[in-house]
Parts: sequence; structure tokens; C-alpha cells
Amino acid sequence: MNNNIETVEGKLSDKAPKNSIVKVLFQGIWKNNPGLCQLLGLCPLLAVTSTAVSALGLAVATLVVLCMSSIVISLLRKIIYKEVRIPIYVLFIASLVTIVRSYVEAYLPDLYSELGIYLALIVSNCIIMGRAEAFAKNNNPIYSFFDALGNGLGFAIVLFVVGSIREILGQGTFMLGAASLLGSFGQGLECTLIDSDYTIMVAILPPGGFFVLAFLIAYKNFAANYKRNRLENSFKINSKIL
Amino acid sequence: MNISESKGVVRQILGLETAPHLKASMTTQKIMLIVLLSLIPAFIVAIFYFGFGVFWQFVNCTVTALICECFVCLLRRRNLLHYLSDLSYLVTAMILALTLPPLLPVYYSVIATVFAIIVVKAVFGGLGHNIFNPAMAAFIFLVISCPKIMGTTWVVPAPFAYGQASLSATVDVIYKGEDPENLKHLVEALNLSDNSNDKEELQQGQGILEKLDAITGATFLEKVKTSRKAKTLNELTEADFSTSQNQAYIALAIAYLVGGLILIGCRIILFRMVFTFFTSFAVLAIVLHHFYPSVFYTFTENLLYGGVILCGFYIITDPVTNAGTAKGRIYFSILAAFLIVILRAFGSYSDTVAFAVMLSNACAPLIDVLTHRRSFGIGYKKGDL
Repeated sequence: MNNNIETVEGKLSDKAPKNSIVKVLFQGIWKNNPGLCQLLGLCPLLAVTSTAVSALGLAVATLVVLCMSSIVISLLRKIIYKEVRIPIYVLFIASLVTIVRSYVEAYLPDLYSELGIYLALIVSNCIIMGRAEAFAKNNNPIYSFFDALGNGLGFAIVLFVVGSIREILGQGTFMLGAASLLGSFGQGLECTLIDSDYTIMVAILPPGGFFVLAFLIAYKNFAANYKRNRLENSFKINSKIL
Repeated sequence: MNISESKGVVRQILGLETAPHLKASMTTQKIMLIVLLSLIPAFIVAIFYFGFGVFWQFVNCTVTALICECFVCLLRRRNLLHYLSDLSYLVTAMILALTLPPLLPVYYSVIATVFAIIVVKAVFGGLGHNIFNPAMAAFIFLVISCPKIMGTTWVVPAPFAYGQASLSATVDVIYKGEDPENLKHLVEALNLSDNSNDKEELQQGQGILEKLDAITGATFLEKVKTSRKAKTLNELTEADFSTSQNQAYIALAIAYLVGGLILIGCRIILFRMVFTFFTSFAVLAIVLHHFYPSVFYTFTENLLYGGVILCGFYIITDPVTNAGTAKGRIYFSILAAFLIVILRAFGSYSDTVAFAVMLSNACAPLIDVLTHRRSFGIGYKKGDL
């Protein structure tokens, strides 16, 4: 009897085919953007984006924590027991957040007072947990790092855009207080775009965050589906009611 | 939209009431036209007492609304003429013109209208799908966005105000950015002299006003609010409705009443809704004032100041944003009246009517679900239809 079974074509491999690193990176930035597509981390996204600078500060802090936590979790993915993975992730993320928080408190006190509780709440930011659970626990550190980088950048871009729009509409200024974050370079970025008589204050209030985010999501969906919709529309019969 | 895609939507539109449906001869276009015409008495009264600022607000809002509707129409690839023929944007513009401060600079009324048409109406799916009343939502948007300019551009009404706040004088304030203070003084001075043609008395009146440090900028409701905070509401004298200043509010109320009666006569708005609204409002206001005179103000002031009458006839009866069932509409009116009385006492803004309408609009879908009519033939109870 021949026990050697020949390999059959189309055998199931235990690993899914891998995307290229660049693709992984850009998926987080555009197609699978955490702010616009996954709709994760909405609490800080809406709460801290009343000015561009505080949005940028939180974005950088989240990006750093996200990258580090993804690498650490990916390195340890084989020795973490599946049953207790969530507490262990939280433990790692919490220690990283504590480091970042202490750093910000020490070196950027203005930003620290502006971000307030939301800096500490990065621990419970669902993007970080989401990336750890969805990507880092199944992939090697390099991939995980680029995935985290893409997602973090995507989130940072959304935060910054929402913050800028809200600040310009609501206060008329742009990058006010950038000096505390970026030093003398930031000083040059501060400018006033709209006279304070013509600002729409609702933009920096909570409803403004929802309005701006909703329009950004609408734009993202429009741009992402533009080609497909155009193709589909070309098959439709133009029914104009006269 | 093809049928397989539109499954959910069709069910949603037709699902409010069970099967036998009649097609009414009233079209949306006709309804909107009658509503618009019925607002004309109020519009004329507003011009008489507040000056031509109201007219320019209407022009601003209409032009902006028209442009926004064209824009939305192009985006949705509809037929332009058919899309614009429903005229609902004109009604929105008219209600906005009547509620916005008469001397509001053009920038703000344009923003309010863009918000009303694009964000409140078009984004939710156009006429018939909007959750909130566009005019009220836009008004609240302005109240929250720029409370300062809303306070300073309000005119204290006076008879023959159109003489002072003429077409050209209001153009200067609304379009050319002049300070509204001067014109406000001129209009208010008309109250001091009964005979407005007498130039000397007029100038005397202006002289008195100039010597005063501050004049009542906002409405009577603002005064009530501040005195409530200072716990001196009991000492506040009741408003004297024979003065020329307060005549304006009575005249406006009568004009809205006339318009409302026309609408009831044409069977555009439901009499039972208007009736329930005013009855519950009266009962609540009188009872609460009787027991807590330090918190709630009297019924007459509550009714005549602010937009309660406009709200009762034109805002809550909006067929799109109120509840969809017969019973639900009555509950909706009671809720709106209740919220107005309560928010007048405890709200932090004095524009309570708009907030009350928005809150009850938000409750309308829930009211629909709770008052769903029994389907024909099932769930029969004895003595019931």
C-alpha cells in the first residue's frame, strides 16, 4: 500500500495569499479608512477636532500608540493564549498610552491640557484594538507595522481635515496654537482666514463635528464609487418626467 | 430607481396607513401656492410694523433657495421645471423671512437658507423625506451659530415702520453692512410719538433714545428670561397690549389667524391639530402660571410673543414633518404645545418655539409607530370599528 498521497492541485494552504506591503499601507489610508469607512474611534474624532492643532496632536499620539502596539502584539502573537488575548492586548496598549501620555504631559503641556481625558482614552480607542484583533494577531511584525501605519495615517488625515474645516468655519482661524506643537515652524502656520464677524459658531460645537464628518463620508463614498456608478448609470434608461 | 431597489422606500411611504388609499385632487404645487398666498396678510403686517427688512429677507431667502434647489436638481439629474414646480422652497423662504430678524445682514440669511435646503431637505432625500422642518432647523442653526447678531438686528416693532425702514434704508443695513443701531432707533422712536408725521416729536423721541444707555434690544421673552433668573418675575409688570409697540404682535396674530383659517377652509391643514395645539397650550400655560407664577408667565404673553401662533397654524401642520397617523397628529400637537410651555420656562434660549418644533419632529416617527392603525380585519375589538 502506498501511503504517499500526492498533492492535489488547489490544495488549501493554511495561509491566505498576502497583499503587498504598499497595498496594505494604502488600504488603511483610503479604501479601509478607519474614520470614513470602518467608522472606528468616532468619540475622539468628534470630541477633539474643534481645532486643527488639537486634532493633529491626538492624531500623532494615536499613530504612535497604534504602530507600537501592532508591532508588540504581532511579535508576541504566537505565545499569547487565545483565550486571554484581549486583556493582554489592553495591558500592552495601556502601558504604551501611559508612556505617550507622560511624554506629552512633560514636553507639550498646552496640548496636554487641550486634549484632556481623550489622550488617556486612546487605550479604549477601538482602532487600536481593532487592528490588533483583525490584523496584528495573524501577521508578521513588518506587515502589522505597515498596516498600523496606514490606518494611523488615514485616521490622522481625517482628524486633521475635520479639525481644519471646523476651525476655519467656526473660529475663522487656521492652526491656531501650532507654536506649542511645532515650535517656531508652527508659528508661521497660524493665520486668520475668516473675519470673526462671519464665522459659524455651530461648526466648533458638537453638531458641527457630525455635519463635517457626514459630508466627508458622503464625499468618500461618492469618490470611491464614482466609476462604478457612472457605468451603472450608463445602462439606465433616462426617464425624465415632463 | 427601479422597483427591486426601491423595496424599502415604497413600503415606508405607503406603510403608514393600511390599504384603502384615495387620490386627492390637491397637488403639492396647489397646496404650497395656497400656503404661500395665505401668508401674504402676515407678510404685509410684518412690513407695516417691522419695515422693509422683512421684504429683503424674503428676497434673499427665495433667491438662495432657488439656486440651491437648482443645484440639487442638477446633482440628482431630474427635470428642472418639474423639480422646481413644487414651490415648497418658496414657503420655506417665506417662513424664514417672517422669523429671521428683519435687519439681519444678507450673509446670514443666505447661510440659513443654504442649510435649510441642502442639509435639512436635500440630504435627507428631498421634499417628503425631511425629518425636520427646514425653516425651523435653519433658524436654530443661526441662533446657535451667531446669537450675537441675531440679538442686535431685531427691530422693536412700531406702526408705520416702513416709513423709516424704507427700501433704501434697509438695503444699506442688509447689503452694505451699515450699523443697524441707527435704523433701530429710528423705528423705535415711532413708538414714542403717536403721530408719526409730526417731525418735531419724532426728533424729540430720537433725542430721548440717544440719551438712554441701553434700550431693550431683544424681544419681551428675553426680558422675561432675565427677570426669571433674577427671581423677579412676579414683579415684572404685565405687558400692556394697548401700546403701539404691542399692537404689532396682536396684528401679526390676527394676520396668522386669517391665513390659518384660509388653510383650514381649503382643507390643507387639519382643524383638529390646530385646535388641540391651542387648547393644550392654553390649558398648560394657565394651569402652570396659576400654580407657579414665579416660573411660568401668563397665557396671553406666552401666546402673543414669539412664534406660537405661526407655529400652531403653519409649522406643526407641515404635512411632511408631523406624525403620519390621525391619532399621532393629535399627540404631536400636544407634545409641541407642552414643549413650548416647558422650554419657555426652563430652556436656555428664548427661541423656544423652534426648539420645541424640532424636538417634536424628532419624536414624530416614534409617534407613528406607537399609533399605528389596526389593519383592516384583524385585532377586532367589540365596539370598535
